[in-house]
Amino acid sequence: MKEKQFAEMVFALAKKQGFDDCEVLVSNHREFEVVVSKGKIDNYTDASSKRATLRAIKDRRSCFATTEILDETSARFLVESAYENFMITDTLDEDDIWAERPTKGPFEYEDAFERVSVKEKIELAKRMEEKCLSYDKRIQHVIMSGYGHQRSEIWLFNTKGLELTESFGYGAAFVYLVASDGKKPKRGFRAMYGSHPNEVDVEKVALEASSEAISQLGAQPVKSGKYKVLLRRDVFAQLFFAFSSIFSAEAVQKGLSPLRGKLHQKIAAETLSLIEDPFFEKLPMKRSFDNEGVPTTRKSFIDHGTLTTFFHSIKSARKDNVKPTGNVFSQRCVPLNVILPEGSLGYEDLIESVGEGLLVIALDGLHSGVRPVSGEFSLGANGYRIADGKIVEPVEQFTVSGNFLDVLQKIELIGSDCEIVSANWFGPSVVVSELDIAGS
Amino acid sequence: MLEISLIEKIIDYGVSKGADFVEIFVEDRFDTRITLIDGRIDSASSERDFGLGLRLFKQDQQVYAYTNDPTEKQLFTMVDRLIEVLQIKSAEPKTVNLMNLDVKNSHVIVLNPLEVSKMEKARIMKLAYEGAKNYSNLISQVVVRYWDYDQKVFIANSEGTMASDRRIRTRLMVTAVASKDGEQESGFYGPGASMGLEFFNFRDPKDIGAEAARIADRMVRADHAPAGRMPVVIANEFGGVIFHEACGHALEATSVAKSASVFANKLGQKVAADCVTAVDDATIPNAWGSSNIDDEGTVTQRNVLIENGVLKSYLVDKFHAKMMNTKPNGCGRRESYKYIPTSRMSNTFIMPGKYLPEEIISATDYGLYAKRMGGGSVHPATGEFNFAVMEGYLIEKGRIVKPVRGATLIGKGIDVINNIDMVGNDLARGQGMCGSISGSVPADVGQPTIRVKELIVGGRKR
Repeated sequence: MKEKQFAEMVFALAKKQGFDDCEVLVSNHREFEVVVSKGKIDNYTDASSKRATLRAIKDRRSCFATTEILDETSARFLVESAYENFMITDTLDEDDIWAERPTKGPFEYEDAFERVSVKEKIELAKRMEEKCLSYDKRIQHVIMSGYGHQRSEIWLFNTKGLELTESFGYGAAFVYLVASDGKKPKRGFRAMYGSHPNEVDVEKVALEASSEAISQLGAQPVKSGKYKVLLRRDVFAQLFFAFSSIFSAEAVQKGLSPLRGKLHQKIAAETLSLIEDPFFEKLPMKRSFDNEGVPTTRKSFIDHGTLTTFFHSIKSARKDNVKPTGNVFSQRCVPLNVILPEGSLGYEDLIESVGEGLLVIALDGLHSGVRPVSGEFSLGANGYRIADGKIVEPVEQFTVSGNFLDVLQKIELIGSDCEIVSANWFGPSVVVSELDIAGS
Repeated sequence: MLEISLIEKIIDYGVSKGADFVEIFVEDRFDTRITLIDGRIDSASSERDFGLGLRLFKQDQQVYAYTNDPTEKQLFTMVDRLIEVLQIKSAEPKTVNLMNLDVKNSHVIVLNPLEVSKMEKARIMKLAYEGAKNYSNLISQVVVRYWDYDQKVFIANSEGTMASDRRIRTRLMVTAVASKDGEQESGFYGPGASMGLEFFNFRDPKDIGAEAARIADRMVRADHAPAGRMPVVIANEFGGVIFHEACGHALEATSVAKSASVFANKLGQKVAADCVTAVDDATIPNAWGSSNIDDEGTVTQRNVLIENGVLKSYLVDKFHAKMMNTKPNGCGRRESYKYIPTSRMSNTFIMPGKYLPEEIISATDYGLYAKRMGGGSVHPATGEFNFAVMEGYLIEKGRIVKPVRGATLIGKGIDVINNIDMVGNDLARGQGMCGSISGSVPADVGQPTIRVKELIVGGRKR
């Protein structure tokens, strides 16, 4: 069944059921991925799926239902179960359906990776593995050498006359491998994202994953203490995303974020700005409206250290009497793309400026060792010891602990080594003046 | 559901085109998720997932495709595309006779969640809220999440197996926040089972809420945990996450078959301290991680992984069984039809030993007592793991002296299971979601209270 026809069927049933307004979001998702190991296809996925979500409103209360089948029975399922959900929902927070059209967009993503033949994509994954294995005899196994891409097309219809469509996606190459000197194995991982095959350099992925694993061999323990720490660009991005929920207005309103009461206050170092840019040219994902149909906007949510806004859904915006910010993606209120503007020092200069300290290149336990309610974290880490402004040895088996808000305040230097480190982060490495390290 | 004749046709077509193995996985599933914040139902959603996954093997390569539009035309196209990827040239007509696998249902459901009103579910959630809110006046916020699902799976493959299973699970998850002197800490407790709403006849929702609140209340009063190497006593139930991360993942064929695990090629060898016996058992009636068959249609079984320190078995799925020249042992799992199944844990636990938990603490001069654990993760290839201590205490001279917070424990798997020197007699299991390449699956972790001679505690006090 066509998307619009399905939405109209749902609207008619919802009206009969007594809902005041509703919205249907249909997404059509296509994904491809090939992973090779030892020259053989280890994992290969070629898939497509569809999904429709109903957000229905009655007496200003919203409720949800989702289906992966788009037919008349499912339309009934959506409306009937949404009604049951409405009957138990007793929140005092009011929700609404959006009516205003976005001024930008719609963005259209033509998946250029689809034009690369399946055979070529398998070859690319195999070539990456070969590159890694020939890099150094000590590269023991390439656990995963993968190449993949995905594209989503979404349609949003609502009873206030909004009818929007957009497509987005990206491609990526990734390598996960293990090097061993016969004593201790060490891992190397690298992924690269882009919106065109030209932007995904498989040779570079292989080289960087391999050199990282080799350079970690012979890693030494670290003494517990307070250290100046250089967080590599991807590590700082990971730490941010582990805490991105604290910027959601709903978390703040419900007392689940340490940012409560901190709007328009200084929460970070003067030099730090974080920008949410859903149109950022270099990043593959671009959106002109969010999953509630609200126009997305470019905004410095941290501007020279000051927290300027939270991320608002329609519901949280009504409560704070502000405008929604266009940040609802998969029922969560999060930034789509984050940009950390570059500072003045290159990567090598950052290392030199640390003098004595640590360079952290990987954090483990980001889903469990962080507590967004307090901002506290304690995470496993890998990296290098910096002495006299130079990397002197690889280090392992240590933890990095602190408070995320404290880290933002203690950012001393911001590098100029900006890169796309995930599908939705572009930024450089940063130096944090002091963090707690536990080791031997 | 699809016609059996069509499924047979597709499987025949795949093997005739030269695939060594063809498998069809069909899933039809309903989920209910309800969130209560601050005493009121904040949101409720219902979800229906339906789709089909198609998998082919040729020698040591596997390929997969899925769709939620499984028409005859679409399925034939999927087979053709996968055959092309495998670059199979030779073909001869073959037919497979599908035989229904007779599976006994060991997980009887009394109150199917789909037949219980959402009002009743909301009532249970409000009880959990009260249990948490009334625990202490430091509790500033309570979030209660209710989740149930009814998943019907059907598996047919070119070995002639045709099997189906129905998994009904119910879980209540409470996060309580305690505030004191401008600081906030949270506590979480989230038990669940392969049961319907009868689960709450066994577990009082009020107690579930109170337990989350108790943790938050203790932790907001706690000082930072110490940093460095020290003995760690880990309590029972969810404490079992230590074995799950430190050892369990590295016993999965996914890593072992590629020799990318520290436990590869070590069957029959001593890999752990004598006091360690560990089991993965998907047959425990109504346990959270249980099922009658796995997601490859293999009947589940109890697998002894380590017995008195000696490595006895790996967790093996169909694809890797071929590479390892062994048989699958019922642990091929996947989150949904969107994932290729692979070897995964179900209900994994360390068997009880001889000590009373109090004896273990008394025998510890200085160290950390990890009463409640959070989640963790591991890199099976290097054995490096980490997990978070949600509720910790400092032990001095054999006594628990004060609460401490914010510690992550790190180490290497093989060191840890060799460093377990005391095992208690209070085995219990806790529930979690285990994430890996075949998605997020329900898994029980478990153990009695144990002591690890030395672990790195990632605290902030020296």
